[in-house]
Amino acid sequence: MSGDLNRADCAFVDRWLEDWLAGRLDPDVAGRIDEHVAGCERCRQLKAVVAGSEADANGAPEDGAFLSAVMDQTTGSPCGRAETLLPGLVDEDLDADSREILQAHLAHCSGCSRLLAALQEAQRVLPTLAEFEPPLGFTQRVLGATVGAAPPPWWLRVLARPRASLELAYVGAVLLVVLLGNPVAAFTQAEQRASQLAGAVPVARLSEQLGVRDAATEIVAQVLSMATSVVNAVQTEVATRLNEARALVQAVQTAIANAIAWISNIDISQMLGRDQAPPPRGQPTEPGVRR
Amino acid sequence: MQLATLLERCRQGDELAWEAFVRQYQRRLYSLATCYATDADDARDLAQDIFVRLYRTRKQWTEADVFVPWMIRVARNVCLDRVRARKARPPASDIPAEDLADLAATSGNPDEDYGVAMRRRLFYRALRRLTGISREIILLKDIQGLQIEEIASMLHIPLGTVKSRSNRARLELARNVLALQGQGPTTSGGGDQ
Repeated sequence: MSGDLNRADCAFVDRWLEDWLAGRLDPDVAGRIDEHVAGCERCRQLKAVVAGSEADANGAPEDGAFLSAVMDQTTGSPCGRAETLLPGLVDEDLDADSREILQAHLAHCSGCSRLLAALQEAQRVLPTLAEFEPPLGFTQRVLGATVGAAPPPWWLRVLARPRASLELAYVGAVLLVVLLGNPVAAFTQAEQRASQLAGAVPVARLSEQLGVRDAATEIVAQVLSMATSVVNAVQTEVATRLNEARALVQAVQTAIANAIAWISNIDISQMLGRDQAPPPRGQPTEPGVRR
Repeated sequence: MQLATLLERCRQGDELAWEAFVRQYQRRLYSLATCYATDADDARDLAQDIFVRLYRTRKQWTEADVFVPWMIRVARNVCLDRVRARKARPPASDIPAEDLADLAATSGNPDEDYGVAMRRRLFYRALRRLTGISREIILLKDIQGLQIEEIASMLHIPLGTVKSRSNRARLELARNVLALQGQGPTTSGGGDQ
């Protein structure tokens, strides 16, 4: 019931159809249903069928649109279930009941009938694809590669294996470790050895001799100062961005909390109460209970 | 010649028997190879590799009553080795139907032959559109005619799984056929009840 809450829709008609036909509804409600049915082809058909079925149980029409409407309101399309049974029908592997209801469906469903025809044709055609004529000279090629041909050496057969490259890489890695020792060993005590090497280089003495000691010290100090200032600037910038991000997250959290509080305060039952039809005239009824 | 006799002579190294064996099964194994090949040359090389593998293992051939399923298993292993070497599943677009002259029929009636050939090409194209596992199940069960038990053993999956996958693959194939015919896929709810 969208838009005007005082107007009936198809679901409303479905719910109160029997009471409406039996004249047990308030005039206001009945009028709303009259107004909807007058403009709804589906509900007109539904009314005709239900009214007819009450008069004559065998009078239901064989109408595709009506059946589709009923299936849509109940189980949905049966084609999916029919498709799962089709291979069994082709293989004659279905029990009698399943075969009967499937054939009843196929009599009225062109889509499933086409699928069945394709399955049946596949059963005839696929076995004919079992043999293809190879190209000319194929037999001679095979005989040349087998009879009298020397088998390839063992290493060629090994290389022809699909995982040969992986296996070779593994063997190579193992060999390297065995031959060269632990590759990590070269880096153990690296710091200590580096210090020894650095101590052995007479840098200080050379600097004094060349008279460049003070100049070099000043240059190093300037470089260190510049690096420190750059690091400080980066740290400040990162801290600013982090603070902005935190503020943004807090604002979003607050907005979500406000929205949840607003939604929880809505009185849904009060809103829905306007959609409920008034109880039928005379006796109270419960929806879904047939009389 | 009985298959058992032919196999025994091949085991003993009889070259004539081996030639007869190749001629007897080359069409079947070439057909199987086409489903894993990337083009016609690849199919020919693959089929040749299958025969070379069979020849080298002829001392281990099984008895005649179970030989054909065993041979197809060996052929499939050769094909999968090639596929693994290519680091990929067989591509969906392998050998075009037009490149397979044997898809034509030769009943003597040109009109009938044309119709039959067109239907075979249609199903071959629909088969090429299937996913890897669906195509393999159709290939083994519906084309090569293996029993479900043999397929289950070959693919290392339960019997029930083979049956359900086979049904799904056949439905997928039928939908592809209808789509190629321009009748569109028949999805659930597509009927005209």
